[in-house]
Amino acid sequence: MRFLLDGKPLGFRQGDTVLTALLRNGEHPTGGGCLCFGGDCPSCLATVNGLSYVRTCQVPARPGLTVERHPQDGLPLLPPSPQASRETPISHRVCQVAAVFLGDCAAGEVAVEKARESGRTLEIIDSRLGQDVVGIYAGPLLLARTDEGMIHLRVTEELIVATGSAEILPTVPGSDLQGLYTGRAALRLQAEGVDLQPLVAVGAAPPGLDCRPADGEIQRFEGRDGRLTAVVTLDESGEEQRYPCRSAVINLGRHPRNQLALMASDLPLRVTVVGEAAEEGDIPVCPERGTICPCEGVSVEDLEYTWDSGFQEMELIKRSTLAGTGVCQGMGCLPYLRSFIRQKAGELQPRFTARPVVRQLTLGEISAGAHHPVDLRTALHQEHLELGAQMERSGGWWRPWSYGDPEAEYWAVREGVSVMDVSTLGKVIVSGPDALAFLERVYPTRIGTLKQGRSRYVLLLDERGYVFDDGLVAMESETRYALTFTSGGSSHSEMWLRDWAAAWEMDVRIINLTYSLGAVNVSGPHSKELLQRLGLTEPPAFMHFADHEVAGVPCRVYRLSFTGELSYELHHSVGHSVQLWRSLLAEGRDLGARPHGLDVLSLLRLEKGHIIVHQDTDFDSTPRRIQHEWMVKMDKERFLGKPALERTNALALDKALVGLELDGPPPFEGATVNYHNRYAGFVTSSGHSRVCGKSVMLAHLYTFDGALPEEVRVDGRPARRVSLPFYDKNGERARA
Amino acid sequence: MLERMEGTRVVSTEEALDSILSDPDWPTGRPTLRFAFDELITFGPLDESLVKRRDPHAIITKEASFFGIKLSPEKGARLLEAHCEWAPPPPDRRPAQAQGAVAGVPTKILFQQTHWLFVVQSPYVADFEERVF
Repeated sequence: MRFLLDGKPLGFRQGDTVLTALLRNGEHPTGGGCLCFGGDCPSCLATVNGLSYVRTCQVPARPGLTVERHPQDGLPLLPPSPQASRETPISHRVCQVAAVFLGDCAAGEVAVEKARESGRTLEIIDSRLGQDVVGIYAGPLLLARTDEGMIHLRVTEELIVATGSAEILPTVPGSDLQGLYTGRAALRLQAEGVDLQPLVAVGAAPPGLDCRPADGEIQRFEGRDGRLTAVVTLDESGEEQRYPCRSAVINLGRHPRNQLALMASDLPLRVTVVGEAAEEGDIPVCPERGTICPCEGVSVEDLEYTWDSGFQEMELIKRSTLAGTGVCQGMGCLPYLRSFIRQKAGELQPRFTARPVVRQLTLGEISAGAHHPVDLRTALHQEHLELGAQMERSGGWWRPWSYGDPEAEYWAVREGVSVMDVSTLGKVIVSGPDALAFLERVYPTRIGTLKQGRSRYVLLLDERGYVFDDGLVAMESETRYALTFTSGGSSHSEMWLRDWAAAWEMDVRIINLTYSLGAVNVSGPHSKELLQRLGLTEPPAFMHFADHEVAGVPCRVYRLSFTGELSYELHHSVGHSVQLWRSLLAEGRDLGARPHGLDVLSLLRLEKGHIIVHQDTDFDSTPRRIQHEWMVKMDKERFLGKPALERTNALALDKALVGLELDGPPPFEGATVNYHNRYAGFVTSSGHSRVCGKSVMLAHLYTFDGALPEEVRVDGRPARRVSLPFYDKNGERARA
Repeated sequence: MLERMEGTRVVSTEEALDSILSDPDWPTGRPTLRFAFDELITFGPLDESLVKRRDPHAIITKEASFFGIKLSPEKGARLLEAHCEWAPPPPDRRPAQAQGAVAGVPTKILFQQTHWLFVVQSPYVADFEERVF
């Protein structure tokens, strides 16, 4: 049986791990260093099947594996990105349990039995089966990696930790040579028939291991070509003793593998630590030289410098040196850091805080079970696709950007008739004895003068008087109103209404019908004729609405105009959207009816000077700054944002949303506006107006010497400020 | 896959909804989901007078934007195990209702003894089906 090591075949025996197979063949993972076979040290890492930083001691060898050693200098290469995008999703499952057992079941047998006998649900993550918990988070939520994928465990009561202990790694010079093993590693390799001889023991030799003891205090390891050749100690008489060997087994003591228990210590869980994980562990002799953190290359000299710089607490030393932040997460360096601090400060400081993750995870493992936020689809989504629409994300929805011929879509609105899916608009009903009083306080517009069957364009202001949404208010009765909001703003606006209704203790009921009602805008000079053909014998007048069937579909028909042409908005149950849409297109075929998308709508409304909130408004846009003061009735007793507007209206106007035009192609949206080489604002919307024959823009423009400039430069080109709208200045077409 | 579930949606005062649900004339034998203290949907027609006589300002609308699928408790449990980060109501508290993200999609679930009803609103249906089935 063979796998590939750096592109060449390497034989292995049944039951070998990748690391065992390497050592059996006289090979070694990247570089050197003491090997532990317990998943604690950073010395056996390699790239396995394209995945870097894999602990080869934890991977069973099998035919077909490709193993590549990491570069001696530098980091392993990332896989090419196209490969990553084809990565098979990692499966995951979620379960809720009362208790979780982590570690080696043999070590925590009593605790497991006790948990089982209590009748509670228990999940066992057994390290012997290659399962490991990689982190514990608030929730409490445990993330575990298994052969079957990721497990997200919600634990309600107890965490039992029996993760055992790690062996302390050497730090003396030469500790990065190949041929160094902890006691457990050496025993395992001997049992698996890997030749380690001649083998020298540093510290007490593990029982059963065939080795020669090295007497005295360890001084260094000597080697040639990166491989161990001798162990050097200092005997009682102060003489150096040299022990030639090919391998050395190191026994410097153990320390608890308790990061997960520490991680859970602040969570609402009972944490039971058993076995060696519960022991205090050994503290090694404070090193005088050498590397104490092989992952981050932190030396004793680095610790001295850090200490002398005033960082004299465990957490500060960790942050300053990065010791403990590498691959092994402190399993190698922590005992030495504690030893160092004890020698300096005379007391033992607690271990540093353990944080997830304790094992390296792939992005696939991290994202297992995670989803992108949903982009909503209207009931007409499939219709759009079948009509060849190019779909675009907008306001949290998938919306048609264009149906492939923007020119034809544009002229269908201006000269014929066109339909647009506006189901995405926010739609809310407010009902109740306090409905009018409530809306009067919410909106800066006067609502009480609205007559039944009529609607009014409104802005929504926050407490600072800034515009955050717009829409319609339509009066159904004295106690019931229908409201609309922007597509992206409906959820926030609903919450806005609910919060204020509760805060003011208003007797109102609020329902959000955004997902329940479809809406189709029918726009263009022939729109009235089209609707009459479909049964709307008496279409409502401008800014009126009526409930009527269209093509057999019960509709709320609003007469309004965003495009600048004669327009109707048909609100209806989403169950009838397809029927209505198809009827409109079929019946309007001889009138040139076709759908239009956002691309064209953006230009149509720009020509009329209609704003899109959050595109043409900024975070500090007051009604005055966007020239919508006409919508604000400052003589109302109160409304949200009024005190702020009273204050800011008293100040000189510093900037305003204005119309600009220039010859030539339109600048990009966001282009800088300059006035006499000074920054004067930026363009919020731009496009080449087909009806005006020039480029038109909306822009935030600053005042200079108290006045808005007439002539500016946009993108380095001269532009003129003009009054809005650009098209149909008297509104004759929109109000037709 | 999910099928449209036509129903009647009611928004009213908390007291009125509490009272309506215990009214002997309230239609039984069909699912009713109480989303919030002031809102519910019952999947079927409703005599509006039941509501209006308690709250003349209640909002009652015919609703066609909800889609649902019934699964056996075993299939439902497997679905939640794979796609749900929150804990369903324990068996001793069923029948019960819950709402939250399933595969990242806002979902309402009615846990009954014989089946679990998963309900999703129209704009989410395609994503729910793609992610879950």
